[in-house]
Amino acid sequence: MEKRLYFVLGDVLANIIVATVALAVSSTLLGGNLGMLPGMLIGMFVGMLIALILSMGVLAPLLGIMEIMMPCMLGGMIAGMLGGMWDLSAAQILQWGAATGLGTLVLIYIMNALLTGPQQLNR
Amino acid sequence: MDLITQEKWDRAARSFDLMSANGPEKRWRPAKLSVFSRMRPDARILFLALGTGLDIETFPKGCNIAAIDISPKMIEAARERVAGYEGTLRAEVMDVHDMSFADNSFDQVFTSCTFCSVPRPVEGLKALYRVLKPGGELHMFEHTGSKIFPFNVMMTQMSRLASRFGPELDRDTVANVRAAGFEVTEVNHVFLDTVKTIHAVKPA
Repeated sequence: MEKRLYFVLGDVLANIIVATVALAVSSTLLGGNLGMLPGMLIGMFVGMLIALILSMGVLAPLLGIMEIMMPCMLGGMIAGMLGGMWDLSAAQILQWGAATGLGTLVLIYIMNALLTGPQQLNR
Repeated sequence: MDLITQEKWDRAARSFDLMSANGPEKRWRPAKLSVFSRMRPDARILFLALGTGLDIETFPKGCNIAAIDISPKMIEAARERVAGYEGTLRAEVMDVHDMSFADNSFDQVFTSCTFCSVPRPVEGLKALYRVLKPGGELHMFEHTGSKIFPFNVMMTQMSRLASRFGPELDRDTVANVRAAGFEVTEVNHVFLDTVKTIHAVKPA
């Protein structure tokens, strides 16, 4: 589990920013205009694209590649889906974006705590 | 020499430190220190891929290391770090698929984010097997694909893009090590199941 303050704070900020931007772009572009399922699928793609650009282009050099890319891509994907399904207000985008980013990061931290360390070998 | 791979990493050399020297290296430093602490001063060591030499700071002092990289521009960028190593460190441009070292000539081989990029990973690992002495050790710090949904799907898709500029993201390096004939003795996950250290031996 990551315990260094620079990286923990960086992870929190990065995930909130990526999810909020993905939600804002997806909601502005699609905003429930396509219907539930197409909006969700296209929103998911838009969210992942935004997350990829932000995480690899800006955040990875500062905070690490896999540790930033994986939670941000997942958060971006979920935020994009939400934005694709609903037309959200600015306040909702900020609240839902922060909740999605933080929620995804907590999930990744829990998974990481369960998965890291010595592995049993299948010989 | 694989000129396509060489050209790809020559291009990457220009921005390699900008991308990797801060966040990624600092994030991975504890795990790399743990792997490279296994370098023994009495061993003849092969290290790949040297890149711009960011890993050198984490090597123990006083070792005898031959380091290779396919990219002349990476080796050139590593020159100062190579010169600063307190021990014996020789850096050479060499393709893992076409190494000039004799059979059974190294006691230990170390890799750092290498087998995400070697075009034919099992063949590359077989080449390491050839140059290792029987009973010799392979120690790797690598990022690999994931077996967990949705990361496995994401990484397979992203690998198509990433491999144009740098590494592939969906390799099963533990399986590749076994396929090359090594006995895997230890695998430690560093981040989820995608960043890991792999330890193996060439059976005596």
